[in-house]
Amino acid sequence: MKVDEFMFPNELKYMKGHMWVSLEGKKALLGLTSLGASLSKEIVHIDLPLEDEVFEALEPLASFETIKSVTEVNSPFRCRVLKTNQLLLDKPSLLNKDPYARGWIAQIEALDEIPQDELMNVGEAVKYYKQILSAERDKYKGIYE
Amino acid sequence: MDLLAEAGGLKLWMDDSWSVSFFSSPYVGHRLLSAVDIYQGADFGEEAFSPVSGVVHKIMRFDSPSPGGGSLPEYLILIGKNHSLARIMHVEPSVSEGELVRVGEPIGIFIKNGFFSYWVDAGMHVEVRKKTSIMRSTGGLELKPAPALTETNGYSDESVSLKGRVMRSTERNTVVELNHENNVKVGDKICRVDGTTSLDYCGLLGAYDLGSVVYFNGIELGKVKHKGSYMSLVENNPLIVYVDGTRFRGLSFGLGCERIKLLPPHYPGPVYERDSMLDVVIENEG
Repeated sequence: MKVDEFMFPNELKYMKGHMWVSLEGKKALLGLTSLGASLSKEIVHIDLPLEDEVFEALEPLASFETIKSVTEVNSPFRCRVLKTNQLLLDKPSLLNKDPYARGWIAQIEALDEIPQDELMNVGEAVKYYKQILSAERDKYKGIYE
Repeated sequence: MDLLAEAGGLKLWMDDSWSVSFFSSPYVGHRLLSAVDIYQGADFGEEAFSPVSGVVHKIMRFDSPSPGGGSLPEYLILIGKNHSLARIMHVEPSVSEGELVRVGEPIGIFIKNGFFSYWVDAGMHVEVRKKTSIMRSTGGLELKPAPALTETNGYSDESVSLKGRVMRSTERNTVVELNHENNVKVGDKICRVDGTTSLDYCGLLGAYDLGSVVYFNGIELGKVKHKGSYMSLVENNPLIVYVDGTRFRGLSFGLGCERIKLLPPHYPGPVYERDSMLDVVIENEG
């Protein structure tokens, strides 16, 4: 599905804060949505967690920077980090260029049953991000004119 | 030119007609006490003047954030001496790498892009960096504001009905001269406040103890949450601002010019006649 020009693949779950989650049993891959990538153009640096590091639900597990902003990546649930995308350390721009594939951030494993309340399906995500995009465009009024 | 701030042996300067803000921005450099926004009274597309002397070390071009439909450019202009550089954003450069620039000389034109919200005026974002740390949003050196900026002109303990005389009004915002000093009370001390009520934080010029409560005209603005070497961060209480009975997005305290900027709830905002008087009400939310 799409929100304007921004793709939201049907098979993924989504969090508030422009993150996607790909679930496979208790394992999950995390990444940034294409809308999130557009609102953080030209990412120049990422801090990744260590393998085996444990995070509480909604605790920041990574952060990335553009030339002016820092964005935190929150854990969708209590988890342990299995693997991180080391490619991003040399090429953080993959987060912008290929957010749903080569730009994945971390693979994690849930330490409890996966709670669904922080995760949106694609239909819910599209509805939510339409509102976010509308608010963003209101904020930018007068800038792009 | 007057001294504005310094860091890493590099001095930033300002003209007395400019206004500046260390804290009226959500971006991380301001939260780390290492960034200042400089407004030179110019509009977008008009000439921008250097706040620093030095050689143009590097110029870089980037895309800015975009809610779709393309992206507008952003630039880093790095000017400095020895190992420290002023890192200037929001100016399309007219200078070239290797060129010597003196304070007050033109360096380009003010631009707007996805780092701006509708209520923000044309201005430059300036940080001081080591030559080895220029790309990331973090890594700015802590700024030491000039003593003249920290001087206060008193504080009335008695709360007044706030009234602002319109000095300048556009669809983006309205600048008023308020019948109250741009100062706050922190414990028994008086200091300059800088920041925007619609953000989750503002700042104080001066290092104040954690937890100190900050009052402006009898309203509790918030509490000190971080004490730097020369400035402090305050966690803002949620505040509501009304202008002539209409709820506004908030207001910004500025430095340099003794004025307050009223931020309309949407773009285009109301445009008021110069010298008209506006009622300004600040309330704690809930």
